[in-house]
Order: sequence, then structure tokens, then C-alpha cells
Amino acid sequence: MRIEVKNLTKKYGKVVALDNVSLVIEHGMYGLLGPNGAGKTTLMRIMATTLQPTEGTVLYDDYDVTRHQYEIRKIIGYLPQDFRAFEGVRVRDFLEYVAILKQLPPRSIKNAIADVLDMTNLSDRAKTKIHELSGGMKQRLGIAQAFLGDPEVIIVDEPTAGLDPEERTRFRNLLAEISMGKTVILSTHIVSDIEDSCYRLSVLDHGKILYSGGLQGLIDVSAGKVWEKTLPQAEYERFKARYHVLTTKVTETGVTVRFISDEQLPGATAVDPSLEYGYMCKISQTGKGARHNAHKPAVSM
Amino acid sequence: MSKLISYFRVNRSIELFVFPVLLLAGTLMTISLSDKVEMRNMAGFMFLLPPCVYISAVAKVFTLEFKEGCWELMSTYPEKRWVVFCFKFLLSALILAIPLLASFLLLHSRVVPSPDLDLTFSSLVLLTIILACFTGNIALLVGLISRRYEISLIAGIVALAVITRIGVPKWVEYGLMPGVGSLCLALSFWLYLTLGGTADANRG
Ligand SMILES: Nc1ncnc2c1ncn2[C@@H]1O[C@H](COP(=O)(O)OP(=O)(O)O)[C@@H](O)[C@H]1O
Ligand SMILES: [Mg+2]
Repeated sequence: MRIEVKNLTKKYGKVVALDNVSLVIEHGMYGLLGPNGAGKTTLMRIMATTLQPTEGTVLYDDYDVTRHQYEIRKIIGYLPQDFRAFEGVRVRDFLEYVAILKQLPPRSIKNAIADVLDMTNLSDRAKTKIHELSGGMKQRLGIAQAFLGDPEVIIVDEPTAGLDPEERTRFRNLLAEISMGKTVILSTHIVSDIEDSCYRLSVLDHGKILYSGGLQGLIDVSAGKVWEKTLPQAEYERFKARYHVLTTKVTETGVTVRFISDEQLPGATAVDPSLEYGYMCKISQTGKGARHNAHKPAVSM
Repeated sequence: MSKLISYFRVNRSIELFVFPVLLLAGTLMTISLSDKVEMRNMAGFMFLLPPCVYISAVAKVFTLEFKEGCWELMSTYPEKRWVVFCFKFLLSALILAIPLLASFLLLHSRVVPSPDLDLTFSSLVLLTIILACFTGNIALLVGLISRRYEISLIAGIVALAVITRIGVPKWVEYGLMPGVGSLCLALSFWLYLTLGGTADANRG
């Protein structure tokens, strides 16, 4: 399955949420990385056919989201950003209802549900009411419903938000397992969600694609751009106003900062490139990313 | 058929039957005390039971996705909207059938229509159905517009209360009420088909 996002633009009134976005997504797990408000959800909704583009389109092989909603819905599984299922309904009943809405053949429903419950480790929760599930379990139920009927393409929108680190890791592994032989599109604002599981990604900010390609390419973006320097505390404020500071660490001798700069400053040493820094470099080029991060430097003690 | 059962299962789990069962229990109690209670009140109660149940059912069944914020997800499933609408409607109608049958059986066997009730049994049946459709479809339309179960339920009950309090001429009962009811149903159908991603438009 080849998914092609073609010159996609989405406007909400005057707000341009997506601005002429083009992408090609093929097999495996594909990451869509961007800060809040970047337009990730908008893009995913359009891909999941719940929202119509203002201009441009998305093609699934030959199916077009503006014309073939029905065909596309048959081959995708979608997990929305804030997934909520009917409270008070039992897990199995909910999945059965989803199976009906997904038009699975009636005879196959029982097995299909057993399969997804097994895969998401929810088999012993089949009779639990949905509102009694923990956050991680609910999210796994979200994946279970997306995966029901074994669709070719899975679209998940910020699925790890609100999960604790352990659940997050488990959830990422689950997605990676699922992605074998399929296309999984994962959006997130957390770099580590992508780092271990995706091998291709795009960076989106302000509705524009800033980067598209392999992980290494994004790592390389930060080569020769991120530096570390220790300053006296008194100079910190002035420094911060001039440079895009990524991390700040207060030590006995002063403040150790990591920052973005095109050239080496005296006393600064180069920091090893990484995905996180590559991403930071990319989004610091657009206004909001820079401001956003300048106000809230990540402080590590 | 398996579809209907599944719709039924999901809706059963959301306490769909609390309101109807309460009403039915009330009715049975009234029946058991029927010699002490005036016939008129008795019949009135029986007569209101099915519309109430129906209002409750349509409100619950049709606002399910909205109340829990699942509409976005629902609209990514391939099942055609009109099919979903019809199943939900059918389910509500089936739920209506239970109290309808129960109350008429009871009415018939236990309560002899009193002379001061100027209704024949069959016209009572007809009127109950008309009333149920009228108020139920108002609840349905309001439910789809407001997307809230409570508002939908209140709208239906208010319509029912108003209609039963005021003296309604025959032509309204047999002409206007079914007309308005069908209009509400048609509007609801259209609304359900055209509800887009707007359900989530105000969420960021
Ligand atoms: N329904 C809507 N109406 C108006 N503006 C919206 C709507 N949905 C999203 N937006 C705006 O579009 C931009 C992108 O939003 P979104 O796609 O939700 O970003 P992300 O998922 O990356 O956080 C934001 O500026 C947001 O405020
Ligand atoms: Mg989002």
C-alpha cells in the first residue's frame, strides 16, 4: 500500500492548519512528529476520512479520500487522539459493535475479537466495563478496535499521551509488532516515541513539512549545530535571549547550557547529534517552535 | 439479525432499561392497587408508559456516540450511516413494543375502561402509538441537535406533558401529531446522514 499525501491544504476559517503538505508513506511504521498545534491531528483526520481537505488530497493507491471514503474506511484502522469508547459498555460488546460497523463477516467476528484481545493483552478483561479500565488498557482497547478486521493501514494519533513510562514502552512495542507487514502511521510530539520504532518520519510544524526521510537524516541535521557551554549564572539571561537554548543544567561552577548555533562559540564544545536535537533544530526555524522553547527551556538537574 | 443483537448488547450495557423498568414496576404496582385507585388515573398511567419508554430509548440509543465523544471514531467505520440509523430506530421501536404490549395486555385484562373515559380500547391503542411517535421523534431530533441524552429526554417528556395536559382537538391528534412526528423523523434522518466531523470541530 502506497499512501500519497498530495498538496494537502486545510483551512479552518482563517486558520491554516495544513499548508500544501506532500508526503509519501510506504510499508512499516511511519512517524509524524510535531509540537502541539502543528496540524498532526488535522492531517490524520483527513487521512481517516472524517475531515475533508480544503485543497489537495490523500491517495491510498488509487483510492482518493475526497471520493472513495467507503473503500478507504474498509482498509484503515484509526485511533483518534482522545479515544473514548462508550462508558459502561463491556469490552467485548464494544468490540462486537465495532466489528459490525466495520462490516466484518458475521461468522468471523468471534475469532477476530479473540485475536485482537489476545494481541493487546486484554483477553482477561473482555467482560470488564470500559470505564473500569486503566488509561493504558483503554489505549490498548483503542488499538484493538483499530486493528479489528486486520486493516492494511493503521493510523494512530498521539497514542502515548497520558501513559506512564512503562505503559508507553509497552504500547510502542505493541505498535511495532503490529506494523509487521502493514503500514502504521503514528503521530506524536515525543521524540522517543519515534526513535525506537519508526524508521522513516516527517516533522510537521505550522502546517508545513519541515523534514521527511529516514531517522539518520534528521539526526544529521543537528550535526555541528548543537553546542554545550558553561556560563556564569549572571550571563545566563542574556545568553538565552540571543540563542535558542535547548537544555539548562545548574552546576556549582555556573550554568551548563546546550543551545543551537550555526557556528562554534568560544568555549563551546560540540554535542553529539541526536534525533531530539535534529528535531529541535528543525522546529526552531519556525517562529512558534523557537518562542515556545525559549519560554520553556527543558531543565535537567 | 446478528447486527440487531449486537446493537442490543451495546445499548443494554448502557442502562438503557433503567427508566423503562422503573416505569413498568410503577405500572405493575398501580395495577395491583387498582381497586383503590381511580380508573381514570390508572388508564392515564398505562397510556403514558409506552411514550415515556420510547422517548428514553431513542434518546439513549441515538445520543450514545455523542455523549461519549466517539462520533469521530464512528464516522471512520465503513458501515453506512443510514444503516446505522435504521438499526437504531428499529431497536428503539422494538423496545417500545415491550411496554406497549405489556400495558395493553394489562389494560385489557385487569382494567375495564371506565364509563367516564370516552375512549374505546382501539382508539386508545392508536392514540398511544401516535403519542409515542410524536414525542419520541421530538426527543430524537432534539437529541441529534443537542447531542445530549438529558436534553433529549427532557424535551420528549415536556412534549408529552404538554400534549397530555392541554385538550387537543381530534384533527390535531390524528392529523397534526403524526405529521409533526414524521417531519421530526425525516429531519433526524437527514441530520444523522449529514452530521460531519463537526462533532469534534470545537475540540483542538
Ligand atoms: N476544528 C477546528 N477549528 C478551528 N481551528 C482548528 C480546529 N482544529 C484544529 N484547529 C487549529 O489547527 C491547528 C492544528 O491543529 P491540530 O491539527 O489539532 O494540531 P496537532 O494535532 O498537531 O496538535 C491549530 O492551530 C488548531 O488550533
Ligand atoms: Mg493533535
